[in-house]
Amino acid sequence: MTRVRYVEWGTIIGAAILFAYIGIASWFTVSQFEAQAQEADITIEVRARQFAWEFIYPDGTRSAELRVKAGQTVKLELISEDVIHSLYIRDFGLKKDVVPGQVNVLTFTPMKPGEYVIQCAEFCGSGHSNMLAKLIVE
Amino acid sequence: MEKLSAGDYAAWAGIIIALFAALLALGNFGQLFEPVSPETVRINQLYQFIYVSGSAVGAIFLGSLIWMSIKFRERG
Repeated sequence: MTRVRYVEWGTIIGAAILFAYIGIASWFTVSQFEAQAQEADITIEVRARQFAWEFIYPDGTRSAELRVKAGQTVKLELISEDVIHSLYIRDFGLKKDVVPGQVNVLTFTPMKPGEYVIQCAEFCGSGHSNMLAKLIVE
Repeated sequence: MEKLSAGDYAAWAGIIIALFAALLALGNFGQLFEPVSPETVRINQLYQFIYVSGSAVGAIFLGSLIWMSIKFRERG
């Protein structure tokens, strides 16, 4: 086999290994997130509508802010009342679509107290850029 | 076609390494998030791997392109 062939096969095999690793590692990460939903400390219903977020706590309290405790595993049940939205917490690197007619789940465990921005990451109309809410970790 | 010297290979590797280092420095070594939750840490680990490996592939491709365009340029 010529040297050029070695380079060619090296590139093909190298790229295949790289893509396989990315795919498998991503699959494991997503699976872990989904398994976590079973062990949540609190479940909060999130209702999205043009152009606001509403958070409904287990005791029925409604709020425009998401208030959670540090160290608590939070399960968000995402429901859309109109069009497709996407719940995006930039500082956490978390994003999940909110689709009419289905309940999507997003689970996370905030560790660092502070205020974070929740925004819509799916263009949903003229007020899309104002569809913001606060995540307060106490 | 002229044979490549050890200096040519060194220059080629040097350009690739310099580009790789520059990409890593520009991208904060793939550190995108503060560790505010375990999920964020895991997402960041994935991002970091993709950023570093993407930078390596990009540096090899761009570095080779730059080196070849200098080495094999038409000389008047």
